[in-house]
Amino acid sequence: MARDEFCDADICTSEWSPRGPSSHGWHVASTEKSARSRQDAIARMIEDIWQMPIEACDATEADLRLEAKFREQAEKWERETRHLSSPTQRMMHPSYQAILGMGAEHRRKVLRLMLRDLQVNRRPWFWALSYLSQNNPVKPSDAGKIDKMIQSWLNWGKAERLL
Amino acid sequence: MALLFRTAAEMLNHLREWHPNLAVATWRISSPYNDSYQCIAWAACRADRHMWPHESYWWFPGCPQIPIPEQAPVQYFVQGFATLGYEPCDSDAFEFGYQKLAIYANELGVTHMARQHFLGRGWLSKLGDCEDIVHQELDDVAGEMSVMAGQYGKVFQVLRRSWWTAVKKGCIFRSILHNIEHWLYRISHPSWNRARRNG
Repeated sequence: MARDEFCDADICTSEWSPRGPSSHGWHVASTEKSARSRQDAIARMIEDIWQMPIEACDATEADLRLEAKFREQAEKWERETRHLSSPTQRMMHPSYQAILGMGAEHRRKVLRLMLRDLQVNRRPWFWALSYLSQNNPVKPSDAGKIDKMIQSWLNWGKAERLL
Repeated sequence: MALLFRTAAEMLNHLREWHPNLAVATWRISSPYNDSYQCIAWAACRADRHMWPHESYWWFPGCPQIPIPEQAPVQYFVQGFATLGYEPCDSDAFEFGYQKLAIYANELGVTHMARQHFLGRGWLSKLGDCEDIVHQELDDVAGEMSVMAGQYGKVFQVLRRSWWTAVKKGCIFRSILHNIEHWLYRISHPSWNRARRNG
């Protein structure tokens, strides 16, 4: 490895060594009590580090399950209601109600899934989005114009950091 | 606007599944799948919006609106379409000089509207986000009254207006523009055109 290639300072990897124990904060107090508390702290730290990936995996797995369930219900809803014009009738479908139920429990996650689905598949989640977010970013002049309604909701999603 | 291409099999299986009467009816598909408008807008000769008496959709200015998901009474639609010159009438038969509309409803209220062809050659229905079709009888798209059946129920009200009113309200002009759009689509999608004819 060329010396000048990666280091601005006048040092290269082979010359580098970590700081010695004396420069570390833990060695300032050298009593037995502090040594025990230090061990405890290290044990807690290791435990935390150990737990982190497990919790992260659990969260990811739950998210994936939620997403799979959402997708399954959304596809069923679209398949069975896309020939209908009445929003009331479309909302009464059990799959739509199931998704609203999921939204009550995982509001932000379901909002994110709806917005992504709106972006990709153009499924009209407008009323569910309004209901879950308690918001309606669509201007009255754009009401009913699907492209503009989708764009308004996507802009709202970006502003809320959901997309 | 999202015009989607659907194969003949996909289109016909789907439409016949939810409209069983079409299996024994004379009908044809007249436009591609398009989610930019639905039947209520198409009844008002609009192909650029969804119409419903609710604040999330476009509705006739000054006409009453309903909160969703409550029932959508037929009267709201009669009042709304009165602004386009429509008035209630008793017969769905073609009358020279008049254009007619049919309002379908089930136990949840209004579900669908069909517009009579200007010269009485059938009824024009936009099936939700799906294709426009032209069918001969109003019963061709009628179905169960139960909400869970996912069908349109029965015809509850027929409206009519004179041709002159239709011309004054711009309906004829917008219909011609829309037909030109479909015609261009058919030219650029010959396979869709074949599928349409098979229907």
